[in-house]
Amino acid sequence: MKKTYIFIIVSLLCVTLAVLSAFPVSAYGTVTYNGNSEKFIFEPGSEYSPTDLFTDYKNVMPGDSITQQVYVKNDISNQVKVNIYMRALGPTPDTDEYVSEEANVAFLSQLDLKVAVRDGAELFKAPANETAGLTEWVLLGTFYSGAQVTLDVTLDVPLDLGNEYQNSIGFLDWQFKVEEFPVEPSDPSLPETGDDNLIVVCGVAACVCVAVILFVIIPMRRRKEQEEA
Amino acid sequence: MYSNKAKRRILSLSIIILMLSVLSYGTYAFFTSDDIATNVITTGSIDIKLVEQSDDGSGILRPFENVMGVMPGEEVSKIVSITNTGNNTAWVRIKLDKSLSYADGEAVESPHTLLELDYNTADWTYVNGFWYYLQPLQAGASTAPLFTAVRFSGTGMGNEFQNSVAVIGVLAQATQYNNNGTTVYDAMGWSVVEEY
Repeated sequence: MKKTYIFIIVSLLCVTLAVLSAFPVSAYGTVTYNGNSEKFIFEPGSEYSPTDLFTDYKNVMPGDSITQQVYVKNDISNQVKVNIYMRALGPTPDTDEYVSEEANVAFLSQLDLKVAVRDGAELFKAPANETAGLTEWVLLGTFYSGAQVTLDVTLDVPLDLGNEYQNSIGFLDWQFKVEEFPVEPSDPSLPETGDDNLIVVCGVAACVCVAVILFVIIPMRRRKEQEEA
Repeated sequence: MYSNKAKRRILSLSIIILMLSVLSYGTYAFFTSDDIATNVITTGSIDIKLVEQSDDGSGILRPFENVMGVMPGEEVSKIVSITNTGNNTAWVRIKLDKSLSYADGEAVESPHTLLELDYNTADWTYVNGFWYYLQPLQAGASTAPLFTAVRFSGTGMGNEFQNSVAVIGVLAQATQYNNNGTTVYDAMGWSVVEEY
């Protein structure tokens, strides 16, 4: 009987693993602004960097041309809209754990990178070690709660990339910046999220003031008028 | 209950609070934060291992070792294949260099007729000096053997071949499969990987 239970458990585990392995790991990076202490969340990360957005650029080979997506989204409450900006900082400094600064730059300079907003402008097209069109802050858009923009990132590895670049590794930095603004009455209406602290405080204060005016000031004036009459 | 003076103060305070609350909501905009994502690109590699084994007749394969005292007409087990030890699919090929020298070191002019190999022509094809493995070799996989035995000629080897030395040199090469031709003959970028 005990063996039967073990057999069933092992079988279930095997089936579960088989099912899970049938679904590929998500092949995109996400930049999420949540407005909390974490501010930006970069996913999925990698064994080399916890903020790595390049899911598909590992083990690349000469001649590869790989396009992957990076989703930038606003996950903050309904009462705030945000402007999200992005810029490229070039090769990451202090990567000595994996590669020298010179080797990092040399490797990245061999690769071509393109970043474009889906159905929109091309933001960057240059060797990966450069900052090019993303040297200055570029506004990706104004995001209401739940909104997102898709960046199509394409890496081109030259076919004549030499053997000296086998097992190479390159690090490059992107910086994201956010500005928050209140949602204006003229903005599109959005579903309630329950995260309404600011409006609640303002509303209560306004109600208190109105109540004071109605129940204290107006009666006072009426009495004063009656006295004068 | 309240004096007029107190009521006026309450009124003023209420108006101030009302104005502040509206004002604060209307100007609730602030620069918040920025953060850096460190992105990583890595390249793969091509690695192969030349595998040379022998079978002493028991069916158990062992690493090939030099064989001494071979007589004319005898056959020596030598099984040559390639294993892809990298993490990418590769095209592979082998170049053979057969040489035979007399006991005094002088080279035999035509060793090919005296040293015969049982080539596997089903999986390998000889073109311009190289034996090409026809299928791409997946990471972790091994080719079928190029040959499994070396036969020393029985009729062509006289006494002058006593204490002679035969060498079968094997040069294995690999190149990437991805983005590199549809057949092994189209592939470019061959590099010397291992030579025996």
